[in-house]
Formats: sequence, C-alpha cells, structure tokens
Amino acid sequence: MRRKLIALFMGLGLVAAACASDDKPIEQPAPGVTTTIPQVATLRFANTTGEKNITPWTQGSGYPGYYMMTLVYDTLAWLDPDGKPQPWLAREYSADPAGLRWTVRLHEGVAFHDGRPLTSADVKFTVEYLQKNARPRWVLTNVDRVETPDPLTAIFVLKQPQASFVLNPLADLPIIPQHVWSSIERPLEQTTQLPIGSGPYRLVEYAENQVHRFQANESYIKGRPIVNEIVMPYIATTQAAFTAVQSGQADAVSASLTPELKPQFNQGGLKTAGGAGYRGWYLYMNTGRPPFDKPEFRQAMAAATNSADIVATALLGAGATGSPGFVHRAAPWSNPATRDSRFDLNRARSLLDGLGYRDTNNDGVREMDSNRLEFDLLVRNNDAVAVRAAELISQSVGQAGVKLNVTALDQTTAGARTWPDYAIGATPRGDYTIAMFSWAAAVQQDPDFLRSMFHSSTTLGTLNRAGYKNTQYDELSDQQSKAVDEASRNRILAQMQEILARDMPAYPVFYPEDIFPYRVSAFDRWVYYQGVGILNKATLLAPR
Amino acid sequence: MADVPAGRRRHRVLRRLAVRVPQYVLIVLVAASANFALPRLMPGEPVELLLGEMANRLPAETVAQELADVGLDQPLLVQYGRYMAGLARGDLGYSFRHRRPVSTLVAERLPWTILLVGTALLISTILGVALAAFAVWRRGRRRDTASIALFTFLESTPPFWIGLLLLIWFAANLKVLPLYGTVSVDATTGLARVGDILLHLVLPAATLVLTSVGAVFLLARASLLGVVREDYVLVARAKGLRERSVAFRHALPAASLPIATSVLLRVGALAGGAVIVERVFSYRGIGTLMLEASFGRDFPLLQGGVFVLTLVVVGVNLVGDLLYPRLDPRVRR
Repeated sequence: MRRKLIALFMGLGLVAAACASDDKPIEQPAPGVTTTIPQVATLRFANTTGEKNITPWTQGSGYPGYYMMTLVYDTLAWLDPDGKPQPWLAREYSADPAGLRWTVRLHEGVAFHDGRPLTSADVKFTVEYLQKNARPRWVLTNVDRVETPDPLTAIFVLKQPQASFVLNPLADLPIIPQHVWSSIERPLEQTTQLPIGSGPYRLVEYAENQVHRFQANESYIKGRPIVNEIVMPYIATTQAAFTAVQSGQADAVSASLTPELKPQFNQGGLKTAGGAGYRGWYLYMNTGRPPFDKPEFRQAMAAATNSADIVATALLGAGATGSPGFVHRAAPWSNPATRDSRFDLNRARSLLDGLGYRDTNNDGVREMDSNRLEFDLLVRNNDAVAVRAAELISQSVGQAGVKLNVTALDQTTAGARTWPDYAIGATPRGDYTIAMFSWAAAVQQDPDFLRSMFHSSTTLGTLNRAGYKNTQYDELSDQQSKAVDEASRNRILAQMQEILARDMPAYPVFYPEDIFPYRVSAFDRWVYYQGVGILNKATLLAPR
Repeated sequence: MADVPAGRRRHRVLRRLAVRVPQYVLIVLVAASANFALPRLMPGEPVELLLGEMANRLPAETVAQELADVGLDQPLLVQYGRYMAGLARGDLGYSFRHRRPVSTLVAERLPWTILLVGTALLISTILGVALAAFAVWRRGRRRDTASIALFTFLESTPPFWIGLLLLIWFAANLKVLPLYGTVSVDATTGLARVGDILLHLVLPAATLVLTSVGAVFLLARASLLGVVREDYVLVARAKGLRERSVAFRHALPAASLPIATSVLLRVGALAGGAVIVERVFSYRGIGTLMLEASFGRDFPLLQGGVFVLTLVVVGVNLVGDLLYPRLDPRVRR
C-alpha cells in the first residue's frame, strides 16, 4: 500500500515537473528580430511592503506598489531607465503650439485581459473617473475635457499649459477599462476583486499579506513577456527577505540593502543592481519660527552640516550628497551652480556672529538676550541611517554653537509634526523647528514638485512643510509649470534652484544608494530604473 | 475537608459568577474606552492612510468628503458614542487601511494567533514543568545548576533575537523549515495542507516556547521545592514508591496551583510576544495586523482588534477564576 502511494506521489511529481518546465524560446514578436531569450517559468520576487489589491485606488507604496500595479495596467507613455518618457500605449503624442491641446494616438489592436478592446473612450473615461474619485498621484484638475474623434485618438484639452503633462499624467496614469469601472461607485473599496488591465501580466491570485501571483498575458501588444509567472510573497521584515534571497527561497526583493551587506550579496550566484536613489533625506526648517525665519540662520545650519562626512560614515560611501538647490544632481534639470554642498564651519560661525548670537557664558551654546540656540531635531525612529545622520548633524552644528537634541519619533508622529504653524489643505498645523524628513523618489522625477514643495499658496504649495514664502519664487514656479518649451523651462528651473540655495527652506542632506540583490540563475536581466528600483514591466519584455 | 453536596456546589459557582461577571464587564468597558482614547492621543492623522501618500495634493473638498465618509469629521464625543454603540451591536467598525469590516479581518487572523499562542503555551508548560520536576529531583547537582543558568538566560532574551537566530539556522542554512508565512504560497489541500501549516508553525512556536519556558521552569521548580520537603512526600517514599511516581503523582499535583495560575496569566504575555514573533516570521496573525494598524493610525482596526484581544484575555481570566476552587479546596467558600 505504502509503496503504491509513493509511486503515485512520484508520478504526480513528474507530471507537475513536466508542466512547470517551460523552456520554449520566446515567440518571435516581429520579423527581423533574431535574438531568442529563454523563457523563465517562475520568478519569486519577495515584497516587504505588504501591498493590498493593486488597483489605482487601493495600491499603496510608490515602489514596488506602483510597479506591481503597472504590470497589470498600462499607461499612455512609460519612463525608460533614464527617466525619459517614451510612447507606450500611445503610438505618438504631441501638443499644439500653445500647449493646450495634446493629441494622443493609440496603438491599434490593444485589448484588455478580458478581450475587450482598449479605445480612446477608455482614456476619456479614466480621466473623468479620476476627476470624480481623485487620487493624490493623479491630480487632473487642469484637464478641461478629453475629446475622442475616433477610437484611436484622444485629445486632452487643458485649462492652462502644463509642462509636466507627459511625465504625469501621460507616463503615469493607468488606463482603466470603462466596462468594468463604470459600475463601481466606491473605488477605494475594490479590495478583493482582481483588477483587469491591458498590461503584460494578469493578477491571478491575491491573498492579503501573503502573496500576489501574476501570469503572463500571452497576447500582449508588445510581445509575450519573458517570465511566465511572477510570485510575490510577502515577507514582513527586510532581514528575512534578504535571507530568503541568500538561501534561494526568493529570486529578488523589493527592499534595498544597507551598504555593509553589499559585498555579501555579490558572490555565490548573487548580484546587486542599483544606483543613485532619488529617495532622499532633507533637513527641514520651519521658516515661520525665529530664529529659523532668517535665511542667514538657515544658511548657517546648512553650512554646518557635513553631508560628505555623513555619506562616508553613516552610508559607508554608498550614497550621494544632496544639492543646496534641492534638485537631485542626476536629474536633467539640475543646476550645476547649486549642485554641490559646501561644509564650512567658519562660514556658519560668521553667519551666526552676524545675526548677533554669541556664546557669552562659555557653555558652548550661543545665545542672544535670553534666547539660547537649543532645539529639538526631529527624525523618525525606523531608519537607523537617518538617526545616525541626525546625530552627526547635531555634532557638527554643535561645533558652530547651536545645540540640536536628536528626538527620534515614530514615523506618523514625526511626519505629522513636520508641517508649518498653519494648516495647508487638509493637513493640520504642525509643530517643529527643525527636522530630518525623507521624500519618496517621485518628488525628484518631476520638476513640477518644486512648486508643490515651496509655493506659498496653501492650494498650490501643498507639500510646503517649511512654510516657505517668497513671491518671486511663486511667480517662477507658476511660469515653469506652464513653460512648454523645455529649454526655457530649464532656465526658469535653474533660477528657482538658485533662490532655494540662497534661502535654504529645506536642505537636501543625502540620498542613500539603492542596492537591490537578486539571484543570477533565476533571472539576470534586471535593470535599475533611475532613482526608483528594478521591478519594471519593461524589463520583463523581450527587447524589440 | 468534607464532601460538599452537588447542589450546594452549583450554588457556589453561581454566586461566584454573580460577583465576578459585573467586575469583568466593568473591566471590558474601561478597556474599550481606553482602546478608543489611546490611539487618538498619538499625534498624527489617518488622512494619508485614507487617501494615500501626499494626500494633501487632493482638492480640500475631496479630503473633507472622505473624512466625513468615515465619521472623522464628528466631534470626539460623537465618535466615541458611535463606537460604543457599535460595540453593543457587535459591530467593530470598518478598517481605514483595509477598507473591510474589522470583524472580518480579525476573524481571518485570530485563529492563526490562537494556534500559535496555544501551541506555545501548551508545549512550554509541559516542557517547563517536566524539566522542573527532573531538576528538583536532582537539585544541587551540576545539571540542575546548569539548567537554572540556561533558563534564566532564555527568559531574559528578546524574542525577535531568538526568532532571527532560528530563522537563520533552520530556514536559511539548513533549509529544513520555511522562512516566512503561515502557509506556502503554492496552494496545497488536504493532509498536505495540514503538514504545510504545521511546518510553518514550528519556528514561530519554537521561538515563543524558548522565550517563555524559562519562566515556567523557574516557577515550577520553586513550587516543587516547597513541596518535596512535605511529610506526605516522605510518606510516599517510605511506602517504597518509585521516585518517578513520588514526583509526578504526589508532589506535582500539590505544586500545580501556582503553575496553573501562571499559565492563565501568561496568555496575555504570550499574545504580546506573538506580535514580535509574527512579524519576524511574516506570520499572518492578529499581531502583525495590529502592528500595521498602529503605524498608520487605523483607529477602527486598533480599537476593534485590541478589544477582541481584551475579550480573549479577560475571558481566559474568568475561566481561571471559576476553575480555581476546583484546583484549590481552600478557596471554596
């Protein structure tokens, strides 16, 4: 009896193995393409962020969440590894000279996973649906209407020219099927229904905090994906996820390694992919509170911050220093004149002298009248590197005679306090003088964020945590957001960076390097997408 | 102690219930109110949780509408009233983050935590008591001294550290046990599924056992030591009983009272330890659910989840209260 059972199991195992091994070369997507890339049966990509259902309304993180969602959904354009938009669902797109009408021509024969065609009506529907059910990532208030002269043409009519229109919405907004969503009234509650898109993968299984399973869309418009199945198990801690890659229980992971682990993950069948991350740490100063209301004081704080030392010590060299002009040095619109930070304690000291702060009682801390320069430096407690960096800042700033007490708080508390002393939009007033704050990679991918970050209006400067006010900056940021000509836009952006480097409402301190480990034997075509990560649908398609 | 007629015994149990139950109801009410107040005392609003990162970029009316939809626009007292009224109806509310009823989420997760904590409680108690019995019978010898040192060390070790060590040894290096999850991501059915669940249970349960067996051992050892010098143990020995029977038949039952108390008290402590252990092993229990809820200020989930945990712990204590007279004749009045 037992022998029979064993034979049965072995038989089943053989059948299963036969089904799983699928090493057929990829079908030729078009004549003239000669390279054949072996198919990968299954790829295990550990996810440490606990994504929910991946519709545009329920998806969580920027990375990997957004890139999981865009395995299923397609956008009209898509960013290449350098962050430049290329046509995707759209064959081409162009604007009229005034920049008010964007004409988008779709590829022929695009279908959703259920076989229904994707047409300009779906594009129009997506925009209107999002205008009704807004998401922070896609604010479409500037789109007046979408015209659909034929099924393959969509014309976006804008209220005002929008310089970043290709970056977002075109290269960012997922097109949803009208026939599915038109009957959905509360999109935030689409928590279990598996999404239907037009992308290279279908989501075939989702179990909350357990697994997302994707199956290749064989009739994808850009050819059948190289990997047949992507399994994304949820692993709650990054340590366990890295261990899973090391021991072969996962092939890649969504989290970035800490620098000291890098050598360990570049041996024995393991490799890392990565580069200059765009997720950065910024020293925020509440410009509404004395003495931080004086630009000279903020400049002194920046001059006393030793970014290079922080990168060398806290990041073991695996990272980049921030630029006083706020824009990441690798971004195409970064101004070379405001790119490099300059640590200069003497300059910090003379700026503080100039403001009248002196250490009269010789306790190492400057004061003026009864105002002693001692403040709490807020930082969130779940990032060891950031806490270490805050301590280093406190040390070097202390040498200039300003005492900063590093105060580590839980992430939500730290985030809630790092707002100015007045409310912006739905955000209540905050409570801080100086804080370390990190922004996601997205804010460095689109220069229009420079307006949200520092515009003094509470409706436009929705991310103005510094409470910064400067009318000249406001005007320039309005101009750049409408400047359709790239060269003239970059000139305005360069000017804005000069103002920021001078006024210093927030000082970018450092950007940790992204280091993503993976197993070479499972899949070795990973490409790092500038500032973001390695999971990207374009990597999973055969080059054309 | 004379035998008590069955009728009077039942009467006593009822009287005991009449005293205890109102006390417990009061405890639950106070706990429910604390569950409401504590998350709201933390600074930070759940706006980003409700509407996504950078929620502030949304038009103000969208945000206001969303806050109104979940009742966060109401004064605290109104929110409190609604919450208590909901509890009275058995409605635990609706999670901000998951957009699903809290009761569904808790029902999905709680059985896993009960399995984990129950297994750990059972094994650590049996193991701790058995080891203590052997140690007492060999007290003063080298092995006894060594075991005290070992268990004191284990008891004072943080669970996440033991968990990580086990994870690296057994899951990563030896590859004999799964590294994460409650079940394999590849679906199994029937017996294979039971085996799969047990395999995934081994490391998290072992972590909890290792970190809690020390307490049981030290307590059981102390109470056994108090008993072994009693006359009836001497009598048992004098009767010529084997040492094992003396230990397990005569000494252990008498020493079991503080041990039984500690078992019930440890339910709460183990549930707390489970939060950490569940996270280390990505175990899909209520601990990880609560941890996530607190990160993003998911008020309803925090309130509801902690309330259910409160009910479980209070319930276990009530059962203990009622069982106590059975174990200890001295409190039967």
